[in-house]
Amino acid sequence: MVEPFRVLIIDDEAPARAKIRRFLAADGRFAAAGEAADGTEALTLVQRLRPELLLLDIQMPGLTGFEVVEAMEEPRPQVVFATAYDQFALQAFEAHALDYLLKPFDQSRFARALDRAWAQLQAGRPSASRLQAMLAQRPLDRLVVKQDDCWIPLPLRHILRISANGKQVLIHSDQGAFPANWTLQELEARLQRQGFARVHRSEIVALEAVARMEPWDHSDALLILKDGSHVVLSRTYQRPFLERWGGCRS
Amino acid sequence: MAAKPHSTHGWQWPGYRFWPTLLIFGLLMANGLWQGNTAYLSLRGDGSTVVWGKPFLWELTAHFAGFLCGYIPYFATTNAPRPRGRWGRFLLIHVSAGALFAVLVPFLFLGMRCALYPLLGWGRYHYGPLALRLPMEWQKLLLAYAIVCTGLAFLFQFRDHRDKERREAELQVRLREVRLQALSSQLDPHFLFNALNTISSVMYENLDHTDRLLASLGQMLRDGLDGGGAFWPLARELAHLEAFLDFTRARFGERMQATLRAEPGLDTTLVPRFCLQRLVENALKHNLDVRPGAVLGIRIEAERTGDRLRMAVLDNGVGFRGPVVEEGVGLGNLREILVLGYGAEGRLELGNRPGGGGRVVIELPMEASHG
Repeated sequence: MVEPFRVLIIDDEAPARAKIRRFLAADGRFAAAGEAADGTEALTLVQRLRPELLLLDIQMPGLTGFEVVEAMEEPRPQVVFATAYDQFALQAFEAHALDYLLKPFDQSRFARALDRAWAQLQAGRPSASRLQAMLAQRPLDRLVVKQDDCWIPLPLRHILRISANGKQVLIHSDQGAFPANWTLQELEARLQRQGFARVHRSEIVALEAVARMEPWDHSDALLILKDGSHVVLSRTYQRPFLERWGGCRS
Repeated sequence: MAAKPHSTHGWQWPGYRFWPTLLIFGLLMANGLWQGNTAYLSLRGDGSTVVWGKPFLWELTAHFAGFLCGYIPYFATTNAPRPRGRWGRFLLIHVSAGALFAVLVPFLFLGMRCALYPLLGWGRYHYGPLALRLPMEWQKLLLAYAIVCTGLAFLFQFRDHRDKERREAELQVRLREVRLQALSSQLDPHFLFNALNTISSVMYENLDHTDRLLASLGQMLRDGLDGGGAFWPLARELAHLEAFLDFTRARFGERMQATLRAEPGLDTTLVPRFCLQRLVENALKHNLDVRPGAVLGIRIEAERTGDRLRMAVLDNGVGFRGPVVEEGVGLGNLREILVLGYGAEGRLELGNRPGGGGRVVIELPMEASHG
């Protein structure tokens, strides 16, 4: 007999989780491995249980379903999103041919979602790249960071700069520094249109956070941020930075 | 006098209105009598033996002719009240209209006098040498034309200014109403679909509970659809909040506990629609995820302090952190509603409780509903 795929149910509502559990029990190809009521719990359980499929609610207090997936390490499990009302999400799912459940859903619709997930799991997770593409296009207004054992959303306007030290990437905000899950290149690409700029091989700054600029040696310049910290603006990044910084301040 | 002008081929043809027209007729006739009396006394003083009625007839016919031709300066001023940089057009209109007025008025009053003299038994009417008489009439008529046009131009300017101010004031009131309506009355679609989902989930476990939730959803839909204003009595807000709490209890179960305590006697006091619901939603949104396993306690209070109503929502969650308090859409909307509704009299305060947890307080002047 084939081992059933293990499923993690993530929804902030207990009755909704119970309903999914009930529907899931009717399908022998899957087995509920656990339940999470919020993003932090979900991320902890994903690490511990390594489920193959997530049934993931999008709107939850704290982290959204998207942020939960983004904060996960590779390889990510197969995901079926569930949402009650979210125009952006629906467009994104349609655009990337990702399956989703509209709440409230009935058992036959749920069974259809399981069928599709099962087919994809059998074929070896072909949806991962589509999921990645969808997440990369998502407009970003906050980053998920880990504080103690909790994942918390950090609004972009609180971020002053992001620095890399070897493999370690740190997000410096007015609420402290947090290690990031992404590379500096990924963050640069995601944040470029949100008022951030690369200023050094290992630094990204928020344009709004730059208080003034001073000359420094080797035709580099020194940026003094609003919290008093200093960042080197290297010659390579000087021209594009000045164009955007000037535009931001005028 | 001025009624809605309507336009054909670029000209505006102003209409008459009864009472202003009658008033001007009365004023002109009164002036005619006064001028007639002046002329009579002046002639008598010069030793003339003129029949006393004649100077009155001269002046009254002249003023009546002026009244009949009044449409000429009225029309000209409506179409060219001020030069506005187009002096050519302005002068062309007023020189033509003034000339027409100065020709038409004597023509009319001479006709009237010629017709009335024989009827009154005064024989034929003799106007005198035209070379002297007409210039005398023209200098009077052109001056009258200029005075009437100037007066009308000022009147139109005043009227336009007043209309504009009135329209702007109306627009402001309307905008404020629309804004309040948009901010306050809508039932959040997120909430609606989540509620349906909650019901579809609870249904499998407990039919009685499902029934209660449907009743609560019905109440909330009615509250959202009743089309009333942005403010309603506290009693309705509390009933609405109870229905809302039914759903949050069903959704979050043991992860949250809410208690509600309202001082009696405040039922009719007006409060912003959905204000307490927004505050509770806000407390849920910011606290449910942050401390896994903990129970979120929410206390809702309404009480009277002096002549003000004080409503507070307290929780035992993480409180408001950071140097700048984050204000989401819900609280931002509520603040705007308070400003629109109460100006400086309404207050929304976000803060932390001494023992930890958040506290949001609304203070309003007490104002009872009258319906």
